[in-house]
Amino acid sequence: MSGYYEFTVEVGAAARDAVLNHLLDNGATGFVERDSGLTAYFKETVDPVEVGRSLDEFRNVLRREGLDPHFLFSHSHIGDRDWNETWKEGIKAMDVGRGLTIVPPWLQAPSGRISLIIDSGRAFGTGHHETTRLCLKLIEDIAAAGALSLLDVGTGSGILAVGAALLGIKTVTAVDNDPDAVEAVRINLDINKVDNVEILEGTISNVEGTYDAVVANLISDTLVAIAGELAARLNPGGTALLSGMIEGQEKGVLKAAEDAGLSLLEVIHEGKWVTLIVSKDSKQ
Amino acid sequence: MAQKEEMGQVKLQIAAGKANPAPPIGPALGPYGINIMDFCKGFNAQTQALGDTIIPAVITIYKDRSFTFILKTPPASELIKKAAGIIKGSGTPNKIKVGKLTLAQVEEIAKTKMPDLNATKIEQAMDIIKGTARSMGVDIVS
Repeated sequence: MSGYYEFTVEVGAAARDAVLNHLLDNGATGFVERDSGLTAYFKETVDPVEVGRSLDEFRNVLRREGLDPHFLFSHSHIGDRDWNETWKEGIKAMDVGRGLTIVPPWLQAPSGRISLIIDSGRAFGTGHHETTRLCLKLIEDIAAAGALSLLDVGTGSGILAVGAALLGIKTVTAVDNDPDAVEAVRINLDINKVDNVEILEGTISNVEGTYDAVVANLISDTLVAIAGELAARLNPGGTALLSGMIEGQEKGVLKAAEDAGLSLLEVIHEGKWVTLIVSKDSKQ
Repeated sequence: MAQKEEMGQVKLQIAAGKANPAPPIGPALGPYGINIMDFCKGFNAQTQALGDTIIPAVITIYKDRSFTFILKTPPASELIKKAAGIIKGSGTPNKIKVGKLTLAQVEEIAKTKMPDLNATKIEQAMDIIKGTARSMGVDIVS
């Protein structure tokens, strides 16, 4: 696990954006803004001495351009860790749909329901997001309707893929281009004792074969971009769940899905989030 | 309905559409005990179409560990880059110039950023924008 350098810069409002841009051009990955200045973060691969030297030199630029050159800065190293751990301490087991209960690994699984044990690590998909819960409920319906295979695109923690396997879908493929996600899926398959989920590191383009169901809980731009490939991975008569878009974005996603030959079955709103259920004609 | 009690507020400036639990988001939000992944998903969904830019987000965290966030205007340097049609400032702004801004563009950016610049007059805000632009190797032309 890698670490970061944290640069705390005490800088007034007038010169702040110039300093921010200078830090950004030198590799800063993001900032926390405080009343008295900025805290910038750099990946460990950046030389902090070089960043400091460049900030010192930047004072001359500010002075020349009529901006206040008097700012103070310091830096420290911080190790990477699971920043979500405080949140994790407060979470409880949660029932989803008719039969599933999402359980964090550090809690006792309840009896009488199917336990979906999820340790999300640093990947998306804790099970506490509206779209994840809704997708799980819909996968439960799809499994009950007899789907035998499912592809989960952008699997994150693998919550939907593992859930699908626990709900009885025989063949499941989970794909994600984030190595942290792939690692999280492996852990979750292991703790749920599931062995019928294939994990692929990559995009939908790396997936072969076709499936009775495809689920993609992503963002709308990605859903639009992959609509064609998504339709191609679906068996005739199959169902796809397109989720992760916010209200107002569903029109673009639906158009892309329809252009790819899919038909709308249902639009579901959950808070500000929208999920589209689409299907591929059985004659295609 | 009773109003929820606020626990704190965090101001982040992060790349549109690319939020993840790494710093700055993790260390800034983690101690409040909110679900960082939910913030990242919401932020990415709202900012994915804004392109390669830095967007400030102000996150209000409540005592029940729920949160809301609003997006603010990008920093002046990002508005300057957009107006000048460049992706990066100059590493040696006194020698290598990478773009130009007209006074009208400076004034427009100054008006947008007035509330964040501690400036009371538009001329004062314009001077800050001009200085910021020149510090990036962007010349001001009339």
